[in-house]
Amino acid sequence: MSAGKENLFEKKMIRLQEIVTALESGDLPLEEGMALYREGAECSRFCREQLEKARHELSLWQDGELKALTPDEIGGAARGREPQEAE
Amino acid sequence: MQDGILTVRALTEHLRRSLEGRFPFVWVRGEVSNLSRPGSGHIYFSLKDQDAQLQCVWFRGQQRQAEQEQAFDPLTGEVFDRPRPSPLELLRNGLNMLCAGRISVYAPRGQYQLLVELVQPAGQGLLAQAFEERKRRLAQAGYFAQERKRLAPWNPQRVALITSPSGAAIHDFLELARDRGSGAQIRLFPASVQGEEAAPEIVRALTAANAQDWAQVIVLIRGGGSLEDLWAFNEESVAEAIFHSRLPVVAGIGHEVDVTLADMTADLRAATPSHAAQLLWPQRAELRQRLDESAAALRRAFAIRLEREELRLRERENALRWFSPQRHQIRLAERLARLSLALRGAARQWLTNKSRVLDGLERSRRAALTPGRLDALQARLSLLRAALDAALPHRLSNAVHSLTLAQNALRAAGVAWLETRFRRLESLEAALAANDPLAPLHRGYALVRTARGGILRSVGQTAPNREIEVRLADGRLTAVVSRVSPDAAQSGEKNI
Repeated sequence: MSAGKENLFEKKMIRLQEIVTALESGDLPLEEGMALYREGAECSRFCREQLEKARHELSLWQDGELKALTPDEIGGAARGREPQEAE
Repeated sequence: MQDGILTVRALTEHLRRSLEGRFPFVWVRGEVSNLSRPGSGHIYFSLKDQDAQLQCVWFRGQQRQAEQEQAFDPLTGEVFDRPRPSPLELLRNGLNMLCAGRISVYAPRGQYQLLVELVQPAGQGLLAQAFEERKRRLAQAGYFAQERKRLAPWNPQRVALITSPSGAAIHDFLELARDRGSGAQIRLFPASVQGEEAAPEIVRALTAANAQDWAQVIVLIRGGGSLEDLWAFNEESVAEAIFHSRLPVVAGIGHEVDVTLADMTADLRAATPSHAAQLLWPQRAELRQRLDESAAALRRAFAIRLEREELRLRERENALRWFSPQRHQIRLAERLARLSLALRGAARQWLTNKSRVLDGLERSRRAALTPGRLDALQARLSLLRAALDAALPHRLSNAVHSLTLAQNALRAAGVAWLETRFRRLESLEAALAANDPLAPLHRGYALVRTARGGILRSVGQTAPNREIEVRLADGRLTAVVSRVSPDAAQSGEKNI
């Protein structure tokens, strides 16, 4: 669960921007430009998919272990519980 | 510090900035006076003590929290045990109140004033005092220094969330986060956010999150509440844990008006839990827009690139075509056409020149050889021919005539010449006859000759005893010379 994979969206976005800049500068061979364009299109597609299915994953760190947590387990129930916690 | 002369406006702006920077949030205690509630909904009053007075404005937008009787917290849903009287109602002239807010300058009047965010009865002043004292100490320790504040990562993918799993805060936070970011992992580190246990639990959670070294950022949130409710976030241990956190900390505690020491120590202060989510993640629509823009820029850049390549290719194709045989032929044909044109032009010019010369010649010819002249010449020629025709027979007949004459003359001359000769012959015959050498012989002369036949003219031609022939008219005598007696006068002549 270290970095790398999770930052892919940002990395691809940055890469996409780099590619655009490189293409705009225009002093690279056509084949390279085409390869870059393909890569850029791939980055764009990836990021779009990522955005379409983007959901925040929620987990709970408790008692030294990690548990999955669904949004349902918080929120609504909380409204009833907080007063008890207060005072 | 300032160069040159300032306008009032510029100076006021300087003052406003330095005052707001110096007093972003202060608590002030004093007696309310000059309270006024105009129709705009804003509340104006002064806080004063024996020695000084402070203008205060409580804008309508800031009064939300105080608008009604405080049976529950409108943001967190927290229900109070006993409804609390609204500060709006409590506020009246002569009362000792505790106000919190920031100092600013009202430029039109050149007046500094407190922009009130929170109003509480001064009875709660103890906490405020403790708060102020602690704040001073922490400020001195550099907890709030802007220089040490780190930027929270933009659109973080791994977030450590420290709050109560049952509070409204996490609900609000997640609610707002739903439409933001590109999908993050949020790890909840549960901690009580009020009560005795709150501070140590928050500290433990902060420590755990840091120890894991998984998150990119720690978010510490709690819904709104009373000063006492939020007190855990003013604890020094919490501020200290935030201060020592290796990971950047974003704090969103209470309402906009609530500023805790934890807020002030955090790298980034969000006004509310929801605001914390806003600060962390960009709206997904914004990301989508950014992506759309990038994709469009990519297509555009590539299209431009292609276009440029195509242009270059076309240039080269054109260049190549220029050198192609076909093109060469066309060029030659063009050249030929040009030359033909020039040739035609030159020919025409030449013809024009020649015809001009010809015209000139024709003109002079016509001048020289008019039909009349020609006729005259012809007439003359006819005359000449006629003359010639006429002259020729005449001349012939003349010649014939002359010839006849000449013939006649010749014939006459011939006859005459013959006659002359005859006559001359006759005379010569006569003379001859008269001169016959033998004739004298008849008259007694003799002709003496030597034996050899030569005429003997001189006595010297013979000698005695030589035979000589003497011819006489009727014969000859052969004689011998007995003596030679020359004449005295004429020696040599023979004496016969």
